[in-house]
Amino acid sequence: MSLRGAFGFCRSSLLKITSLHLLTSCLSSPINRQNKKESVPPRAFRVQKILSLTIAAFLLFACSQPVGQIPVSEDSPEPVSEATGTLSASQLNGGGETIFLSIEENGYAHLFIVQPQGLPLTRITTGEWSDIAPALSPDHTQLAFASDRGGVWDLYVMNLQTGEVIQVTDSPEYDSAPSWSPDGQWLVYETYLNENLEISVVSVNDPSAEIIPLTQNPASDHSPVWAPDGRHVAFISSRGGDSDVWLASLDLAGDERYQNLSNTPFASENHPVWNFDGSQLLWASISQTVGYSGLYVWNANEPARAARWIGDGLMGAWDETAQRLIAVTNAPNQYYLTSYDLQGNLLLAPSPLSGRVRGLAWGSADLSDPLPESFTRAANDAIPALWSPIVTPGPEVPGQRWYLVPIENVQAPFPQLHDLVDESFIALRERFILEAGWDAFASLENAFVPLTTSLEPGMEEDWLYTGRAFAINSLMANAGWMVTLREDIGAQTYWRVYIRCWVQDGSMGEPIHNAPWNLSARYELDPRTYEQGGEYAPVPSGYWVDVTDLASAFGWERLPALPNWRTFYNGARFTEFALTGGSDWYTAMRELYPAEALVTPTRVLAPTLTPTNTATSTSTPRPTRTPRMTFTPSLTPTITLTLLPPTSTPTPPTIIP
Amino acid sequence: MENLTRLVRRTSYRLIMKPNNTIILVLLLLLSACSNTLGGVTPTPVIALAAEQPEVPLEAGITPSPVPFQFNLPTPGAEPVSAWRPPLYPIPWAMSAYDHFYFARPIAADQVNWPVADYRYGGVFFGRNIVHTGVDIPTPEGTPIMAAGPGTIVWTGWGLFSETPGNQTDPYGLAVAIRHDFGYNDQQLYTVYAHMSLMNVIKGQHVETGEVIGFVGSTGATTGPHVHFEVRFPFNSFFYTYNPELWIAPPQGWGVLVGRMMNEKGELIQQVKVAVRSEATGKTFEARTYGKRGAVNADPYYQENMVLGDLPAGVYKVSFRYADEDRDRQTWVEIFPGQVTYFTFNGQDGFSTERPPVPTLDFLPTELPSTLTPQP
Repeated sequence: MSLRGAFGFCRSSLLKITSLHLLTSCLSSPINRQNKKESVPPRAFRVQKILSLTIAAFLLFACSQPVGQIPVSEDSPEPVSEATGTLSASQLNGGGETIFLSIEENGYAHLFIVQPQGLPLTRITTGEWSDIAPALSPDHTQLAFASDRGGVWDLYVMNLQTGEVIQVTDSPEYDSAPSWSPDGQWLVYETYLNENLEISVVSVNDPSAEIIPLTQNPASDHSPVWAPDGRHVAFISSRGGDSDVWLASLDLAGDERYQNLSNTPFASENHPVWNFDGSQLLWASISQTVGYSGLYVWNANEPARAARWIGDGLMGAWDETAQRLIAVTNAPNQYYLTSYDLQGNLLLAPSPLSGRVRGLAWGSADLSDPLPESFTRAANDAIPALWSPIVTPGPEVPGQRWYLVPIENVQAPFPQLHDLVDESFIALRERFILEAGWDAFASLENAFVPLTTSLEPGMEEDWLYTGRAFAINSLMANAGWMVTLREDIGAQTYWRVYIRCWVQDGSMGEPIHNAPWNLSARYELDPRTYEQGGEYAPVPSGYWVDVTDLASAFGWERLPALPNWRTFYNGARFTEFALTGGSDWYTAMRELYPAEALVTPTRVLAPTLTPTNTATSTSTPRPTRTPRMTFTPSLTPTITLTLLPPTSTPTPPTIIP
Repeated sequence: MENLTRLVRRTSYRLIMKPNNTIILVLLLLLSACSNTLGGVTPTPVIALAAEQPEVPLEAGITPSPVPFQFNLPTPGAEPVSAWRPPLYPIPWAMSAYDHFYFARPIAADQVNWPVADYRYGGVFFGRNIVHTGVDIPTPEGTPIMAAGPGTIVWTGWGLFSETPGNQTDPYGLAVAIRHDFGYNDQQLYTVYAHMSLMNVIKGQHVETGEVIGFVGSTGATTGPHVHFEVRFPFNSFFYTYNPELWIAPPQGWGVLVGRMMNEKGELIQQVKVAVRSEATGKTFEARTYGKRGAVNADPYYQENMVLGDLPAGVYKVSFRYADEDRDRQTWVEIFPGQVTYFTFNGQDGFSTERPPVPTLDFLPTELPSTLTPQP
């Protein structure tokens, strides 16, 4: 049965079900039917089995859909998977709901649009720079975003009808995360000022107007969003120690201006978004052990009440009616687009995206039909691959095994990598030098390690053994050139690693937004931080490169911390990146070693029974040919007894005569 | 209770009418058990008894006996001296990047499983040129010795010290060495257990943490039964030992004191007795700095010449007599649970609790970030 066939079967057996209700109906109806019956005949079991298989097939089908085909919206009875994936005028919904996304591909973020009712995911900007943080203007005609297309990060506004882009800010400092004022005249945005992120307001149309600073705080203030009432700005600030959602009232001055909305000491908030009337505020929270990570909705009419958890997500956006949310969720090394209603029901199965999402907006946009020429050109742009493996020819090795190849000019105990991944490492290293201005990959803590090397406890089956992983030098952290942000995904802890740029004038890297995690804090005698495995540190100043992100563009995945990392420093494992190629550890090891080399010597007894010469009459217990179970101490006396008679036999003859 | 009795009575009637009804019988037995009467073989008297049993008076109706119920407890006296210690921290235990409590202890917690106080690592006993390269844990002969971590047995029998298999004059006696499955800084770790009376393993065998590898004895150069425990890396050699008290996990809530004691010239002071007195309990612990000669090695990071493990958390006074001075030099340190407390003494500047500088990279750009960034 093909996937489509499975889908058809599921649909025909349960008539008149819209695509979005399909999942829940498929899941619930056979069970309901069975509950009505007294006994369960075997046939019902079979039907249930088939149904569950079709559900599984449907789920797989939904997950495996390419990015360009997103069947979303309650209104569409048929999945949009029929769409051809090419741009056609008939699919474009000029005044309809459009989702704007900034997605990274090849280490650069580009803007994309997608319309739930027709237009597949379409790239609208391209180039060797990043365009992030799209924000739709209140009149639906313009899109503000941040870009480093001019060498430094500045704000730009794009006309959605013509595709024309104008520059709004022109400062060497980092400017990003624009949000429109309700009248469309101003943009509130984050900017790097006085060695940390601050929030400022700039006029869109009048270049001569002065930039108005909104916050002045040594902590990091970022991600502002202008409330629809025009008199409030919600933003993220680490002034309370960790990142929280704060509300600034434009009518008040001084300390009264600011109010903490989220109040979560062990969670880091991000990406606040107002709904259309400003009655609700959506934000994303990354929690460390207390509460859930995910999207929260705070109700402005009940300000004292804690925000309500909706669902998983790193960032979200409202639709125009504030009934649905679009959300970006993530696995450790993958990002997905999904949708919820306000009760947290899933409206759209998570669709995988090609890279990290750097911005999200949803609203009615006045797009021209056909799309502007610059959009079409960007959509048809072929993004070249960052690297491709070059196999070094060598003498034949049995069993389809691979070679390790040396990597040049790298300090490491064994500067070698698997033949299939060394080009990726070299490309990543060159790209990093380009991004950060210096060569942090020149000295690695480890590249390949041979089987004879013993890594720390818990890393006995580490990817470093396969030659498909490397560990950057953790000593950079001691020197203050590397910081890590904690990201808990599921039950596991991951790290996002930043390395400081050589040039700090804004032309390289970005400021860090959220508080890093200080593992050393647990050494500082506070039982709470001891339990948490550390605490948030102040957001460091300066411009940094997100190595985790850059490495993932080249296929290098980060690895989770070992479960005991809270009390075992080296178990944090934040320096290691692996290019697994989709295989598991053992398969990857088999690419280098014959199976015999991987037989763990562990549970095998020595083949020969070597007697030990002991001075005492009690000889050591010798292993019998029985399994190792017999080595329990309780058996030792028996063995000793059986060995004694031979030594005592010579004596009796001497006594008897 | 009344209902139950009635039910039981009714059941018994049925039983009489249908004596072969086994289900009823089971039910009856269950009920009779519930009603807390005698468990007789024949059901009839049981039921009769249950039926005639007087009702249990309500609690309020019980008249108190003249002597109230009381426990007969011994009179509390002086607090008994207990050798009890908390269980060990789970291994591996490393709160900081330079800690490495990777091993459990070779002796189980039902015996003294901590090193003997006056002959620690670096101690001198047999002669000025022979410096202790491990710790001694004195236990009765025959006490099981357990592997301190998972690994493969690489040596069994006589001759470990002289590296001559079967050398029966070897001071280590019957000894076992384990090459561990994990390492430290990519280096191989070994542990050594000496003076056994009996060995339970053979070369090449793999053992897990806590597996019995032998029994305590006094083979080799000993003054009594004990296990001599060593930690070695990166080679299984007498000259590559490190202080095991920095490698065995402390009891929970306890910590380790590490010191580096130097004279005016910055040279290490040898064999000076350091008293460490708990401010809370007044108990005094003693340690000596490492001897000069021999094969003692300091930790790569701490560069210590004195370690005092197994100290309950709290404030301690550290005092010792420096050179020919009349009075003790002293300072106060705090021990924290599961952590290493570090101090240095310099003949010129006195005590300091500043930790050694962390290593950094020579290839890093010289320009430093303008503000202090935290370590990950």
